[in-house]
Amino acid sequence: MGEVKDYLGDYALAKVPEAERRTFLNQLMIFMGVLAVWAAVFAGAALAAWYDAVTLVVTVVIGCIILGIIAYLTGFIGSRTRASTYVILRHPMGRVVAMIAGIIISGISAMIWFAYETWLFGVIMQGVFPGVPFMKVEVASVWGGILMMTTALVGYRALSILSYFIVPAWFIIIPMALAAAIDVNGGWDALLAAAPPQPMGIAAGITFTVGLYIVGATIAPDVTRFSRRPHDGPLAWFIHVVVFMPIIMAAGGFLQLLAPGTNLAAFMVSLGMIWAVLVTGIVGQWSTNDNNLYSSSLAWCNAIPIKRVYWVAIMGIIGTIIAALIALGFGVSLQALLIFGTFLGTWIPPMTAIMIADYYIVRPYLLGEKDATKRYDWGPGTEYSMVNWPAVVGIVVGGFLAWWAPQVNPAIPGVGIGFGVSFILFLLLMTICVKAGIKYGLGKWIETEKGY
Amino acid sequence: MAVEVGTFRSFFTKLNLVTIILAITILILSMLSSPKAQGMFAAFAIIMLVITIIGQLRVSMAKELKQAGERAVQTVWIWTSFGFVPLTMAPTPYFEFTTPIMAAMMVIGAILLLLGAFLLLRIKKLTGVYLSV
Repeated sequence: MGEVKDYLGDYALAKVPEAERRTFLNQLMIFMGVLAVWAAVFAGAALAAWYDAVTLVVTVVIGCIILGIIAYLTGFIGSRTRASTYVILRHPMGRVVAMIAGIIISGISAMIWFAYETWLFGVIMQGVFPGVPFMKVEVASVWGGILMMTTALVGYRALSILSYFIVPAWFIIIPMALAAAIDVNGGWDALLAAAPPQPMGIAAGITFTVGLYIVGATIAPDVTRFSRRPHDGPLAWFIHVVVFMPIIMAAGGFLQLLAPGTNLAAFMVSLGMIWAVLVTGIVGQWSTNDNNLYSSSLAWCNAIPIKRVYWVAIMGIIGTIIAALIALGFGVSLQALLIFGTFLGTWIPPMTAIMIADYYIVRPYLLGEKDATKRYDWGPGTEYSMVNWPAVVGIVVGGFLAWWAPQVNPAIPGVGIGFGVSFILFLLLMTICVKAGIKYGLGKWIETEKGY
Repeated sequence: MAVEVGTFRSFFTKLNLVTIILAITILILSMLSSPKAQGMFAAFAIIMLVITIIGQLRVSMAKELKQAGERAVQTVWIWTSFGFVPLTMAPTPYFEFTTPIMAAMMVIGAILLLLGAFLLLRIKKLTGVYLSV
């Protein structure tokens, strides 16, 4: 299959050419830029309602290792195929299901994240500058949303430059603030003695942690497709989540255990770290949210092929309006983040499981496509099925069980159930189909010259 | 405006040396301050020193101009970003810096940001590498 010309911009539906591929450090900085966000700190604070300091760290580290493994596997597909997540999904799910799945994973989810973090940006600005009209939550959400759209409009190069600019400082400033918070609130002894108000089983925290960032793990190919060597991007994802995410979540959680009801941003302001909060708040939030919007635009390009910049503008404006509406009527609540993280954790892992199962097991061992670079070949003229029904069954059954099982017993990890059931069911159905000669791909879609 | 790799290495070494001196200055200033500042800012200065020295070694070992340019850009991005740390954290009352030391820290932060911006643009011009390398 031939190389496709880049009609939509930033290789949304085209293979990333060799000249545009980036280094390991570039990929690490982009991923850490996504993580450099106050939402991750606040998520750690939410976990402090359930766990003491040691259990919190153990829970987060386990969740992060699971995320790292998942993203390594998805990211490697991206760096091998040079395709975005949504183009990759065409192979295991069929062309039409890939459009819908892409919209669920990123088209809408990433846009909601964009809206949520834009609102959070407004909350931080109001916290730092109370009483300033330009910094009111609803106003700061609007100008913050517009600011964050700018780099997403430019594309991958701008995402990289912004990440390089802020990430090293962010990951020095936040641990410094955490150290100060522990010192001011009684030190390590007080932290280790602090007990959570509503103790909970470790499975719920792992589910929460995985659910919090499962979209990021699933859409790792959006960035790793630019990876210079096949393992650079996946390894960068693994390192950023296993090494740095626990530090960020611990920062929020530890302070919450020591001084319940205090968030780290407000605490930093109380210590006089106003400029540090501003820099980490404005640029950190920006370096995360532009990635959300970028991925959302790629997903929409796979469904409706108009220029990527138009999708950035459309989704950015919708997300900014939602953020302003939340600011006007939704209030400030960590509970909202818990609900959202749990919801994502329910439906997206089944899709991720099917992508991994198809690329690493079905293609090489059932269909005999051993060459990893050829396994998901794509470009003008490539033939896809419209719907791959075993994938649809896997997603629906796995997603339902992931939602239902924790309702019966909260100790059951919904994310794990969803991922595991979908993975096994998809493999089982594909094995039966291949061995018995049953047609698993329904309909036919031939890729156009524009990659659609 | 491409240059010889040796000329570029020499140019980078001179400006990277400035960063090493600034990192050592932060280390010394933190040692002259309160125990709260000593630990955190000394750790920061050491991280900065290590990264700058590793960057210097990587550029010195580069075999061609493009490779040297890419490694130089990566190093400079990191210490440029580090400029935010003394600039924003030094004024914090928690660290109990005296006014002259606080001012010196903030000046160092500003120098890192400005020098970094200059050097990044210069490296791009000399080697032709992307800033988003």
